[in-house]
Amino acid sequence: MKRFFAFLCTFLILSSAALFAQESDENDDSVFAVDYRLNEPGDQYIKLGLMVTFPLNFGGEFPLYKEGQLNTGGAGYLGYHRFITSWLAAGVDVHFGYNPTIGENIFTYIPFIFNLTVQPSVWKFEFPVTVGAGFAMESYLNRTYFPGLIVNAQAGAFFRINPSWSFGLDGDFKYMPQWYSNSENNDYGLFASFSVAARYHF
Amino acid sequence: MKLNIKKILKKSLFITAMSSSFLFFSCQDVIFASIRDEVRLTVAKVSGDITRIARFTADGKEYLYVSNGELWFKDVTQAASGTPTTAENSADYESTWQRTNIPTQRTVAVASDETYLYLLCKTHEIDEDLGEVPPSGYSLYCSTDASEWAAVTLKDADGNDVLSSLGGTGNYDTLKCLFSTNSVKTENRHAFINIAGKVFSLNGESGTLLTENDFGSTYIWLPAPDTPENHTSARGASFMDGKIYLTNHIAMTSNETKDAEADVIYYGSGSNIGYLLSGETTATENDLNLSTIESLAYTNGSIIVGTKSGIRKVSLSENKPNSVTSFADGSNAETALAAYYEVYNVISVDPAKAEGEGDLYATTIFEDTSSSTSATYEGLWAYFPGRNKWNRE
Repeated sequence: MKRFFAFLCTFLILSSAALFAQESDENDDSVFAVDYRLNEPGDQYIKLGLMVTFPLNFGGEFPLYKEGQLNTGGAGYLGYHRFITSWLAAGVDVHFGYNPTIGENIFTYIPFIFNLTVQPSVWKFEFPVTVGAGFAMESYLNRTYFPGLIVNAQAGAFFRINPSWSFGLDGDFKYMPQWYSNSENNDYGLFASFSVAARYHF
Repeated sequence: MKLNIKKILKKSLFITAMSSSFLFFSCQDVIFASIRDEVRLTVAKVSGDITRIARFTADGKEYLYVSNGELWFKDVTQAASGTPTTAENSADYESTWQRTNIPTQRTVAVASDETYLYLLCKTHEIDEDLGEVPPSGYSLYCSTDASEWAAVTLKDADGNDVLSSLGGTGNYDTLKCLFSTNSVKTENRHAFINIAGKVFSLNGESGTLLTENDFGSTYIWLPAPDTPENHTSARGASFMDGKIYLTNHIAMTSNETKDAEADVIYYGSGSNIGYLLSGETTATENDLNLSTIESLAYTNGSIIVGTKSGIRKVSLSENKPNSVTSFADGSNAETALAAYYEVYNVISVDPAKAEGEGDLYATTIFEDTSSSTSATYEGLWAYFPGRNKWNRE
């Protein structure tokens, strides 16, 4: 009888402990639930990059285009972007680019590009795809073409090292037409670029 | 509601102002189309500061001579007789300029008349105190074959040698003091030198000092005012109607060809092109919005103008300068001899040919240091119709 009563008490105590433990787990899940995303609406980033620029429609061959009217050049760019949603951002980039010519002159351009970026992400990898349009100041010898239309498309891959910094690579394509009252002078430039870039997120 | 309208108006005004500023500051210069006309520049053979390009006839052949510290020449008989340079008559347009002997250390300028080639030279002596090698003296030589040289002696009215008056640091006036009519017809070539305001007509190993009595008959001053003070600043000459026209402007030419005498003289006055028609006594100047004119070359239907800001072409209407116009289709004149250069000399070998149909030569320098990474070449350029391009010589 005494053994039965001791066994019953032990069973009841253990059952109560199990019951309270279950209730505690349920309470912990509801307090610490987190849905983490790399970017949230309102997040911003500043982007800085250096690129090699290839003139596609002036003759010559990859990679230096030495025999073309325009040769391989370079550019740097600086941009500001703000997320509208967790995957869509809007911003503006300014580039500073140059390409040497076959006659030992220099073609330079400074475009201001307003753009939209769609950025899917997997784990810490981000894949921005950007399209934009804007205007450019184009210079050659003592000649200037302003404002020149510029249409730009860009795709890249970035790795978020920490919440504030990401680094990656971009491929870029630019279309720069030049239109004149004398249509015989109408022309356009197609440029492809490859860049390394850093982004500061805040 | 009112607040919203105000905001909308402000934004609209801002957008309108930005758009207007774009239009106000817009520029539409031709860029890509011009880049497509460029050519790869050749390695230069005749480079440096070239003060003059002189025509010279010897042994029935026509030559061009340039001085850049040395003396270079090129046989242009074929082009001068009406056959411009093409790939068929010039292997890959390779430069055929040759260097010839000079009588002393360095040349300064070259000119010619019907018989002689004149060469202004300078010598240098080391100044060990200053650690410099400044010009120590100038001398003038003449030759009938550009091989054997004889010294030219010039004396003023008092019998004093005047060449010793040339000196200093080789300033601009010294470099341009030797000049000639540089006529296409050999018999119309006359050479002069201006030393400290004394103008000599060169005659081989001597020269004749021009006096005020000479002006008005054999020599005509252009443009007005025709004063003794202006005569002392003569730097250019041209030949028309049996007379020699002198001017204080560097750029002067005529529309003389190998088959026709001149009936118009052109000169550059600052940024204006002046012209005097045969039989008239008063010149007319047209402002064509050019940079300061340094040189002129007549071609059939146009004038090639060398300025402080590159090369330009001016169309002619009834032999009168009309307006700035474009070069031959596909020519790279304005991108090769671009605005960053001063075009000191330009010459048309056969002025009977239109621009784009005859050989042209020009020289470029840039004042002080280059204002552009693009303008880096001081020296001689040539245009050949066969390639329709300017390139270094």
